[in-house]
Amino acid sequence: MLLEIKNIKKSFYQKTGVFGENRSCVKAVDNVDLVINQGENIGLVGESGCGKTTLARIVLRLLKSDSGSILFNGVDITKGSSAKLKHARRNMQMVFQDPYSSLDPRFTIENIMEEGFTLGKGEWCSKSTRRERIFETFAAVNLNRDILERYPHEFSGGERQRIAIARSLVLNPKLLILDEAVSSLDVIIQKQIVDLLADLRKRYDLTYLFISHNLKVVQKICQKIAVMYKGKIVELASADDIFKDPLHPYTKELLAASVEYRSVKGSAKIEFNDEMRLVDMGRNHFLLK
Amino acid sequence: MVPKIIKIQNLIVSVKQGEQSKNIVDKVSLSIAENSIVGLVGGSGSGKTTIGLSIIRLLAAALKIDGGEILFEGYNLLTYSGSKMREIRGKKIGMVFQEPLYAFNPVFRVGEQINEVLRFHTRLDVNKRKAKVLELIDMVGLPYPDKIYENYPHQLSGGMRQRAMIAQAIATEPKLLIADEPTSNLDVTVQAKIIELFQDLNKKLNLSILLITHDLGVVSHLCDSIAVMTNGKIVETGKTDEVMRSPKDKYTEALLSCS
Repeated sequence: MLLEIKNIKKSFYQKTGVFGENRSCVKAVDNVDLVINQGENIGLVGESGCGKTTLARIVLRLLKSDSGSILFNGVDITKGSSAKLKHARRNMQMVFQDPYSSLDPRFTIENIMEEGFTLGKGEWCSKSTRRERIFETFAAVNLNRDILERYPHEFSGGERQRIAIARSLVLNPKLLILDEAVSSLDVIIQKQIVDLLADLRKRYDLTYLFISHNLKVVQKICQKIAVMYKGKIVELASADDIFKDPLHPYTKELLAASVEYRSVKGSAKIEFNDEMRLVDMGRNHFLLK
Repeated sequence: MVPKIIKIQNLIVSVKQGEQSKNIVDKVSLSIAENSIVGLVGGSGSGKTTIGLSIIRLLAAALKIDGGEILFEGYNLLTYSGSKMREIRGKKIGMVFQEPLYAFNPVFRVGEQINEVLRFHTRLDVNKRKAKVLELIDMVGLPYPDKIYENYPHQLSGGMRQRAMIAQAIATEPKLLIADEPTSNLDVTVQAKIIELFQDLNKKLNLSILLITHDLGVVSHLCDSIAVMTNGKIVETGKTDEVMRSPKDKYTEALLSCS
């Protein structure tokens, strides 16, 4: 078990009213449990605003959760100072949606790639080792060695996303969180990146948490899919089961929209209460009931 | 022979790079039959958007139309003066831009911006205009038109903004709607609704639509015919199901295998 998410909750408060006298509460992540095993590939799908990215940020502790715990390699990363997390953070990296804003425009590619090395305390390595490691990653993502002196603006969207992936891989992480990593790319580049990700997973024995609203892309990469709606995981099953035998009305709506381009109003009737839990419906097909 | 709403012939658009100039749209011919939905497909940088912007003559200053003609209702749009073009643009040809957040002016209310189109292009009085705007907002499937009218663009979600922009584009009941990647930034569930809205408008208002996108899935569900573009050239055109079933060009094949 690489990552175990237990009862994670996160609410955001919003001030409403003319003088901000009232506070309204949005439950962004509501009692989420999820287990990711080493080498497993989980797709997290749902519409925008359903809490996918918030969950990813909590896993990396870029955000603090309100309650619950997250065990990464057996260590609870929701507790303790962030200095203690440095080791765990090395092992989990994130690739962001928009390669135009996730790379610092004033950094050269070399700066971008080297930055990760400077963060890990006590794990210093020589410049030549770092170089070697960077070139190795470049080779893995099909980038040329001679780009080190260049700046992000000189690259196309697909190339930038490769650089972002290279940056996340350079420290040899175990878990890679890909937040809509291919959504902003056009279909041909999308295919290249999807193929690249499949190849990298085999080569480095990586574990992916792949976040997307596009079920078709998730199907190509992931063996397992978790469907999220309004802060809760409503269905969790193997990719085949989700596509062939969706159980939750929201999953059905999502499938109709992404495969047949039809809008079905399945989510209109969905109501949640606090007692609902993911129940095994057989063959490891979990449904929120 | 079905009458054509717009006919583009040998259009050349070039961009100047230092001393040289490069054709980013290279002798493109494309026509759209009345009442039909045509998909213009291609990778990013293939020149799709440039064609859309050429039709309404809103090209960036660096781009120059070097040749060809765009016939709309029998007249060449490229010979029109600026003021004459303004009468066509927004009235007879509507445009839905790619990024709805930047297409709206952030300091004006959404309703006022839709209203502005009517103020410019029609002789309706204040009350009728407002009623019409509310009707339009309702027509594109947005809830509580009164409230949306008073909202600023940033208060709407991506899908809602997209719908508001469609409302703005169809306000004057144009003959042709150019939709540039109208669903690319949206959730699949919202995307499905927008596609249904387009089908609906096509039937109700007899609206012809030029849909610019890189998503062949959307095209196959919405468009009657399709034109595939790469490197500034149209490499294949035809009926959607024929092209999807037996693509003749290598690039089309590659595109199909990716989606």
